[in-house]
Order: sequence, then C-alpha cells, then structure tokens
Amino acid sequence: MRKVTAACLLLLALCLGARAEAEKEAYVVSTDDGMPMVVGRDGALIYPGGQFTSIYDLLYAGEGTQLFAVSDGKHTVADEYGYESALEALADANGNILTDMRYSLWTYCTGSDSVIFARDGLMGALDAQGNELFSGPYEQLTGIGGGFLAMKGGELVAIDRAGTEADTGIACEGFFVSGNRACATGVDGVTRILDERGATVAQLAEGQNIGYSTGPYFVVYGQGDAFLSPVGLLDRDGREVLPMVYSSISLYEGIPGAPIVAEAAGGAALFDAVTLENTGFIPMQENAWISSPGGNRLVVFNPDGAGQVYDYQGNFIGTLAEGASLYGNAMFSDGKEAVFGLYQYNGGGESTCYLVDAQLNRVGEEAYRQISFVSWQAGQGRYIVTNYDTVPMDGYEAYVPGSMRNALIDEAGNALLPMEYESMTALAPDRYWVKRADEWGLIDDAGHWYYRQSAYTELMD
Amino acid sequence: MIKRCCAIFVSAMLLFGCALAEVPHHSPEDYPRVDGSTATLPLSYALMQQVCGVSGEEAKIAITHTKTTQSFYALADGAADLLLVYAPEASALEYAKDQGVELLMQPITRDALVFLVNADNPVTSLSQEEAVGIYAGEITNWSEVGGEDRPIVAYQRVEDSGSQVMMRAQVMKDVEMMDAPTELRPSEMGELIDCVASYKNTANAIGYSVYYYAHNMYAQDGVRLLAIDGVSPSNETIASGEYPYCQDVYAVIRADEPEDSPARILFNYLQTEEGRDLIEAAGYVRLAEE
Repeated sequence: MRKVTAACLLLLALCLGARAEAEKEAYVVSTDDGMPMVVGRDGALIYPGGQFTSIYDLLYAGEGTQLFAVSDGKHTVADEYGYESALEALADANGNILTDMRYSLWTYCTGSDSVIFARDGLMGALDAQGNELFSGPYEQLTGIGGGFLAMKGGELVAIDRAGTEADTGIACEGFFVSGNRACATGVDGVTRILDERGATVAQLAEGQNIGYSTGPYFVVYGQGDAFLSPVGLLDRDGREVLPMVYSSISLYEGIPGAPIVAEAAGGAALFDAVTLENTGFIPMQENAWISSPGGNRLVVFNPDGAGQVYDYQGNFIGTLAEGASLYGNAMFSDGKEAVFGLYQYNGGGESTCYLVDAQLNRVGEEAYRQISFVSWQAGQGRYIVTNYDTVPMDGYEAYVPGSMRNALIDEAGNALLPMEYESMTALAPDRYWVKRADEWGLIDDAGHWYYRQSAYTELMD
Repeated sequence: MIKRCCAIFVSAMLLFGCALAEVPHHSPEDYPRVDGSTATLPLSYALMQQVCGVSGEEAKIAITHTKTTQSFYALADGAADLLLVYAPEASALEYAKDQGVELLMQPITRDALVFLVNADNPVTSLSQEEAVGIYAGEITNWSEVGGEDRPIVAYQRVEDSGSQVMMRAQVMKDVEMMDAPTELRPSEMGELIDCVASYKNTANAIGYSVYYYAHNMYAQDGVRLLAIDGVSPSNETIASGEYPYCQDVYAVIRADEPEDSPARILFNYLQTEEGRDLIEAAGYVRLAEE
C-alpha cells in the first residue's frame, strides 16, 4: 500500500505540475493582503479583492465551463464535531453569482458539465447555470462520463443527468473513478471494473485489488501482503497488459510521452505508454529510486551516488553533480526534449540553479537561486528565475525578507522580463501575475500590462 | 568698518555652514537595506532618489517594505539596516531585546486617523465621544450631532486593515464597534472615500482613513475632513499633537551601527533641516526641530 500510495502522490504532484493546456478565460490571483480576486485573460476585473474571502477555480485542468466556488466567510455550517466551514456559491467567469451561498462545492464534471455539491446533508449536482439537477442522501457522488455513480445506503447506484437512479446490484463501501471506468471492491471481497453505468466490465481474481489508475491503465496488486506483493498492469477492460511481477509501476500521466516504468530486481523496464512496447531497461541498485523530469529524460538516484540521467529508451545521457536535481516538468509542455533547470544544493541553505541542455551542458553564464519551468513548446522555453539576498544566521544563510526578485528567461537564457519583479506567477505561457514596484497586475511575456492596480490598498501598517 | 563687516560675514557663513547638512550620496550598490511600514514607502522612494540619484521608478523597483512588525524582526536579525516605520507590536521590540540588539528610534514625522464626510454635510466637527457613539451604533442620526435629520451611514474598513486597527486602538479603545454589513466595508481605502463622496449617499455617509492617504494620495472633491473636538486635521495640528488621533513614524537603526555607515548617515540626515525638507516634500507632516 505504501508503494502505491507513494506512486499515487508522485503522480498527483506530476499532474499538478504539468497539466493540459486548456486556455482559461480568467485566473484566480491575490495580492499582498491575501484576498483572492479573479482577473480575465484580457485584463477585465471579474471579482475584485475583498468581495470574497475564498475563490476556487473548479475547472482546474482540462476542457469545460470555467466556474468558481466563492465564499464570503459569513455563511458557515458546523459538522458533527462542531467544526465550522464556510458555505459557498457557484459563480461564473463573467461576474455572475449563480446560486445562494448555501453549498459545499466539490468538483467540476467535464462529461456532464456540472458541479458536485453537498448541502443540508445531501449531495447532488448543479448545472453550469447553477440549477440543481438532482440531490439525494448519497454518501459519495462522483461524475463519470455524462452521468454519475453514487453510494446510497451501502449500495452503488448509477445516476443520469436528470437524476434518475439505477441500482447496480453492487454492495460496497466505496469506489473510485478513473476516466470512463470505476473500481469498487464489494462486500463480497470481489474487485470489479465498472463502466459509466455501473455495469461490470471485468472482475479481478479473489484477493486481487487495484492500487490506482491513470490514463488507460490500472495498477493491480494482490495475492498476499499488500506491502510486499508484486504489481501488474490491467487495461480499461481488465485485461492484463503487464504481469504481476514488478515491485512498482509508475505511470507519469501528466508528462507527455513519458514511458511506463516498471521496477523489478536489478532495474526498471520501460514500456511505451500507448503501444506497451518494451523500449528499454535501466539498471538500478537496491533502494534506488527513479523520477521523470519530463522532456524525454529519466533520473535514477542510486544510494551510493549522484543522479544518473537516461532517455525514455534507456540510453545513458550523463551523471549529475552531487546534490543536483533536474527540473524539466514544465507547467505547459509538449513533452519534447527540452532545456532543463538544474538545481544544485550547496549546503547551509544555499542553492544554485542554471539551465542545461538535453545533454546536460550548461546554457548561458547566469545562475540563480531558483528556476521554475513554465513552458516548453515547439522548441521554445519559458522559465521564471529568482534571486534573493541572504544573511548568515546560526550557521546557515537566512533569506532577507523583501529581497526576492524574479525575471522571465527563454531557453537560451535571454531575459524576456528583467529581474525587477517582486512576485511572478505563471498563469499561462503568455500570462503572468506579477508585482513590480508598487503595482500588481497581469502581463504577458513581453511585459505588456493587461490589468494593473496599486499594490497598496492603503498606506497603513 | 570693512573688517567688522568681514568678521560678521565670516561668522554668519560659519554659522550657516554648520547649520547646513550635506545631502548624503551613495551608489545604489552601497545604499543600506531600508525597510519599514507600507505608509512610509513614498518617503523611502524619495530618500533613495535623493541619495542615489536614481529615478522614482528605479527606487520603486529596488525598495520593498515588509511592513511594520516584520521590518523590526529584519533589523534585529541583520537583514535590514534602516527602518522608516510606525511603532511595532511589543513582541518585535522584545525580540530585538532578546537577541541583544539595542535600537535607536527617532520620530521623523507623524500621521493621523481622520474622519471624512460628504461635502454637503453641514456637520464640520465631532467630539471624541460622538465619534465613538456613531461607531458604537449609539448615535444613528446626524441631528444628534448638530446636523440634519438624516440617518448616519457609517462606513468601516475590513478587519485586517491598518486603519481599522488604528480606529479600534485610538478611537474606540474599550468600546465595541458595531457590526457593519459587507456593503459598508469597502476593501480599499479609495473605495471608502468614493462611497462617502458619492452623490448617491448625499450627506449621510461618514468614514475614516489616514491623513497621508486622504490628503495626498486620494484627495477627492465632495469629501471634507472633520474636526475632532474643534481641531481640524492639518500638517500643523498633527505636528503639534493638537489633533487627537496621531501616530508617530520613526527612523530606526541598530545602536551599534558604525558612525560612518550609510545607515547611520541616513538616520542622522533625516533629523536635520534638509532631512525634514525631504520628508515634507514627500508629503509628510514636518515635525518641529527638537
């Protein structure tokens, strides 16, 4: 379980790092006072700071209607333990508040263009205009395809967009959804792969269980101790595509082009994530671990040495310096070989970062405290680079507050935006939320301002 | 006669020369790490412009103030060299003391909390008790304070704003402020001033702000600053302390700062006549020479 949990967490982190490049209409941002606001891509102020105490973009990634969960902090609900949480309203990207502030809003479902909510002990779904599609006494409700699956009184039910329920005949304690499939382990101990209507597509052998799913596959384990049992890979219909002989399987769904990495004694076998063709093998020592910085590169960290860099076919590229890490997982990436950010830890809280090409050769002369890889598209890169001052304190270098400055550079190290920005957050390859001098605002990678406001709502404090 | 005139002239020049302070000059690279309150940023920019000869834009890019209390921690830790700042929370001074860092604090200017009303409101002054009564919700009509028979629409600021903190500490003290609905709590100070000035509200509205902002940054037609106990807020009444709701602004350095360090030089400079000229030119209240 720890292996699959670790793999799940790694996968989650990677997915958060590299996401689908759906262009958004608006962005949730904030300034020094921490109050959220929403600014349109073209610079329109949609929800000003101070209107709400919290704003969440429900369309985190992928395609669909951009909707927000907003709260003013004044409408709350207490749970059974007396813990109060804020109630929310649904809002759109045009400045319209679509509902009363009476919901806990959970997730946006692309297939049904709806939002899952909880209200007054019920769960249900709202359409993109804020109308309740249905609600009921469900313990769990998740979108799948154009409809939903839910737990009701220990039974798994399928619900269509109009709220019509269909009993699946499966009694279980819960389920999870991945794409157009769901997995549930029934009270009978049988693990099933289900389609969008809750019909069984495949049934795993007794004792087998699904660790997690990603892309078109499920990682399956079983037959014995969950911590030690080997894992394998099933497709969406439950057919075995990799046998249960591996100690771990990693699928880097958020990284375009990354292979499936299946570890066993002595190393990791690489498989094409689409064709499942075995593309290579990387030797690994015991207790080594492997990561994918994207851009056709894998890094193996053996216990006795520095990182060894390989491509997705298992060809050796080079060795990193002691204490160095490779960053290639851009927020917006086409997955091709890139110019990476290399992070070098020097001890005592000190670090150095610079660009390296796909062969690990240094690019340019400049070095920075931090590098954040924003985008790699068609051979062009965008990187936010950061410098700041430190002072010696208690044997380490302490950050000097207020000294941080950011710049935007390209893959050759050329400055696109100078080292003048106190804050810089990438929202899209061509949109950045920044603080410069005494202004916050939205700019593009040429420095053109689309929205700007004084950094100081009042000259106090 | 000529000798006497020369002697008088030379004496006058010597005296004049002693009174004049030379404006310090430093390169941007040698400029001390200046930190402080958000309220003193315009002064900080003006100081760097004068001392380093950089543009206002360059000064704004170079300087960051991490706010009052945080800047004191930075000074105590050696991450800042000179503060332009309000008095901090007591915990910050205790921290400096615990670190064995002695501080030198010198008032260089003063700000104030001011009350604003619509220019059509005939009320020109409130007593301190009346100001408290309005914001405690006990006085609800302008006729109770010498005005017309109109309900009082009392704007507040959001709770974490500096002016709200100042309002509670200096004006309300132990008296509870009434709750205000969201529409009467503009998130931005400029927005509050707009609301008070708005013709929609005619003469019903009252709000509060800080003198520097209301007087310099966001002076609005249609808004008047109220006198308190008959004392109108002005550079003079704030400098003298006659206006009641005042707050000092300080220059602060570590006491062990060398005499020839840029931080010490600027600290001393801000207390000279020329330093006070700079402070006044930046829009702040000029304190009298001690």
